[in-house]
Amino acid sequence: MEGSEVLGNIYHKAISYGLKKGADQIELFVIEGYSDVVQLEKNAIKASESKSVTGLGVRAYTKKGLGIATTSLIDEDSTKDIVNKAVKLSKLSPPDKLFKTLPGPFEIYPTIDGLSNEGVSNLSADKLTEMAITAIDSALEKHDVVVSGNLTRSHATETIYNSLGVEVTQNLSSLSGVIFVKAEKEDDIATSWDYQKTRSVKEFDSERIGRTASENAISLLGSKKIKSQELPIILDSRGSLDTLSSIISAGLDAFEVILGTAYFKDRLGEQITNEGITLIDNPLYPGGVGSANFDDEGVPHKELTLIEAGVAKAYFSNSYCANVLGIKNTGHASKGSLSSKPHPDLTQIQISPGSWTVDEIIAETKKGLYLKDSSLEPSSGSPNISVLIDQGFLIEKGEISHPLKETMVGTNIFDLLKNINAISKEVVNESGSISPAIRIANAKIAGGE
Amino acid sequence: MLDKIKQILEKHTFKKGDFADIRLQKGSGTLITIQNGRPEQINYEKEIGVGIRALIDGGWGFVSVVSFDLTEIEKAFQKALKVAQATAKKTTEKGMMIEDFAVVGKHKVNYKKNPRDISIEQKYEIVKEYEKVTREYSDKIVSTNASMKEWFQKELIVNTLGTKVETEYGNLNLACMATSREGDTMQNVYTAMGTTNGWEVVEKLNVTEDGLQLAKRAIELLKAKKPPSGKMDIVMDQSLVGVYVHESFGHAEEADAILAKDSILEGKMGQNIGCELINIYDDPTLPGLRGSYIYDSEGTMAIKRDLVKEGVQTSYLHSLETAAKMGAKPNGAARAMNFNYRPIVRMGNTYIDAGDSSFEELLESIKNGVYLEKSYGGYVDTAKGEFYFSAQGGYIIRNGELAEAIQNVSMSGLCLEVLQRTVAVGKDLRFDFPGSCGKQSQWVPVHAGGPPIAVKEIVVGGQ
Repeated sequence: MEGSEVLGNIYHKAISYGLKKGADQIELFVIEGYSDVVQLEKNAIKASESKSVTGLGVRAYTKKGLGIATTSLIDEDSTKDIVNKAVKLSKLSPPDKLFKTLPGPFEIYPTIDGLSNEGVSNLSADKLTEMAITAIDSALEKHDVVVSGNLTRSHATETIYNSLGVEVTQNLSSLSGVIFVKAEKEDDIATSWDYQKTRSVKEFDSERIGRTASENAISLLGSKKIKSQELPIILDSRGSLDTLSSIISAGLDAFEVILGTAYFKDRLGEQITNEGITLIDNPLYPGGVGSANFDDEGVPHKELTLIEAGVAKAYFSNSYCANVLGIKNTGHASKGSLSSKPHPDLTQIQISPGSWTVDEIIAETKKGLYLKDSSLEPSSGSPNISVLIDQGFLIEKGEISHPLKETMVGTNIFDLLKNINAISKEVVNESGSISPAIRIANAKIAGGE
Repeated sequence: MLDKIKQILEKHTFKKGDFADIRLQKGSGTLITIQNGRPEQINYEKEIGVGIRALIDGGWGFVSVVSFDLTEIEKAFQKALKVAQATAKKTTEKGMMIEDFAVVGKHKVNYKKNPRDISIEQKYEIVKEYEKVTREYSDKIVSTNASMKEWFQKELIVNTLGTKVETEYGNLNLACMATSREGDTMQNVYTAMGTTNGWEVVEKLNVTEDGLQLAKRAIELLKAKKPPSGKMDIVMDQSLVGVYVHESFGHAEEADAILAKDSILEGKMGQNIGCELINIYDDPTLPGLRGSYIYDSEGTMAIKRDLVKEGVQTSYLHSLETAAKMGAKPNGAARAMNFNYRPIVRMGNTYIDAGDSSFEELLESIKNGVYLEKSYGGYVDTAKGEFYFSAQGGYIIRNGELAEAIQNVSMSGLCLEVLQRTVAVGKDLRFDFPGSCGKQSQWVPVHAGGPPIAVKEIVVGGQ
């Protein structure tokens, strides 16, 4: 408490100093934290790492000109120096005539349970290493495979102060792991992975990650090339979540709307996909890895419906976009890195279930593809989709037949959304991100045969 | 400072085979971005910190600290030793370090014209012109983004082998992106320049002409055909060849991937892995490219690496550890993104060497297929040897000639099959892919290129 009061004083002084130097508005974004990583390579611990993650980002506006300055050092002198730099740059910058104001102040913030977990923050390095060894052992339990990957424990305190009176702090901790597995049978090689990110030690299952990655890799042995043709595609829940998130994140982003590149610019209220699709962004989900009390400008988080029964309902925005477009600020500012200007980004997508079982969707598909944790994301900043299938299987006569290699999918986001013709009733909830499996009626498949 | 850091290492007694290094890094840079006619941001970034590695009894430990305070560095060093000891107790795959390999050196960047002597205002005007000509070319250009980024850093590397290296690195980048749109048809094009040379490179550029050409391409692609789908013969331009050699081959040449059993090239040293037209190099000593450097992040002096000679694999890219484990000479390929990361094996400037075919001869060699140009990045699964990358656009090749234009598309293939299926190598070598390469969450500046090449039977994922 004493430490944060001292820092609070430093930040108050820094804001006053920036205003005295001539800035009209000023914002400080501070991260203080650490992360411990256990790196795995060739079925063993490769290295253990303990990293400092600290930094200060300052955004200053003078006569609508913006200056951003960041530093990894956050003592009093360095803070003053970096504020000065940001103010100087803001005076050099021509005005951004669209800019109106930084956000705030706000009286009420949500308090979400489970953002910071003492179990995670206090997890010993030895325990993290043991978890990593468990992941390796479970991957090797039934199969002779090669295991690599990492387990990471992170803790960060985020603090945002601005000259309009925003003064907020939140603690975020997480425990994550990713395991990559290579399986070999004679000349045949298959690779796969599994991962998990949680905010609690209890939920984290390193045994599952290792075992699933191993089973996935084994299931992909014996992959075959297929001929080019048009086929339906079933995406599992991870593939569906990643595909729909990537489309919506470029399609309903208020900043992309301003730029003219949002896929669904001027289409709010229009049916853009199957009426069984309702998709919300929910940063309030207790213990969710995408959850937080406020966004990267200190704006209180809230739930937002983006697609309701297939109809585009809202753009997601930050303060800048909300002011320019004259819409509500949905609190989706995200900095990406300390030195970035905050832009709108999704936090945690949740997609409602449909009426099919996954087994029914597969059984009803005479010939098609089943993609596992492999998404169809638009590429090269256009609505076109042209991707290699990482983990896919051919379905024949309603059953999974064999894994695929050298197989690509070509379509575009409008056709993909229009062609969703089945949504599963089972959903997978991965620490707050929720999705069913979906089927796309038809897409061009480029095969290597 | 160098001597004081050395003293920290000397306070501890290391057994034979144990090792530690301390790497101090201090960097700063600016970024100017103009988007759709308005200033998006002007940034200044400063980064200081220390990364410390220790190898004790075969266990690796790494600790970073955001401070140049000697007491803090010493504390972090002690922690790195403890972390390494704890790792040693748990690991079954022991780390290893080369012996008798010390480098003492100092490199200072020597610009003809120092970019930091040029005012922000002057830099801003260049970015402004670039963005403006691109945007104003047509109403159908709905979005533009031009940027200039510069970064300059100093590193001080001291290790228990006796290495003491002070090195500097700087890069300067200028890029412009344009998105054209007509209804639901959108095309996005991008061009970038990256150099480790000075401001004189920027002075030679003609951003007005470059911006116009970029905008013209964005508009032409709106009317281009949907790309074809299936397995077909292709000609790749220099930028795609750059991504191809970097992604599909270079990553598999990294010795840490070989040791981790994560590379398709494991066990293939000295074997014929491609057609005899193929010669591949990685050369950080080429001056001025984005992946050029003198000392790597372990203090090893970089050298030119001959990776493939007439289709035969001849060497790997090495760190000190991979060289020790494989009984090879270190060749300066260990790079770290910043003080917060351990150095790992990376490429610098990777390229396929020039052949003797003209562009017309390349088209003629495949007769019918597609010409793909301007990379949009890609990735490879080094263990499986399967790659995937994207082109901003291209043309149908019919009867050995370029025909109608096609829109953006991706392609895929198996690394070694593609090297073997190369049927002609062009003579016009260019380094057209200045990029940032990601591996294990670390992004480092690289450059890649080659001449255009003709390859049989690549899967193209069109519509």
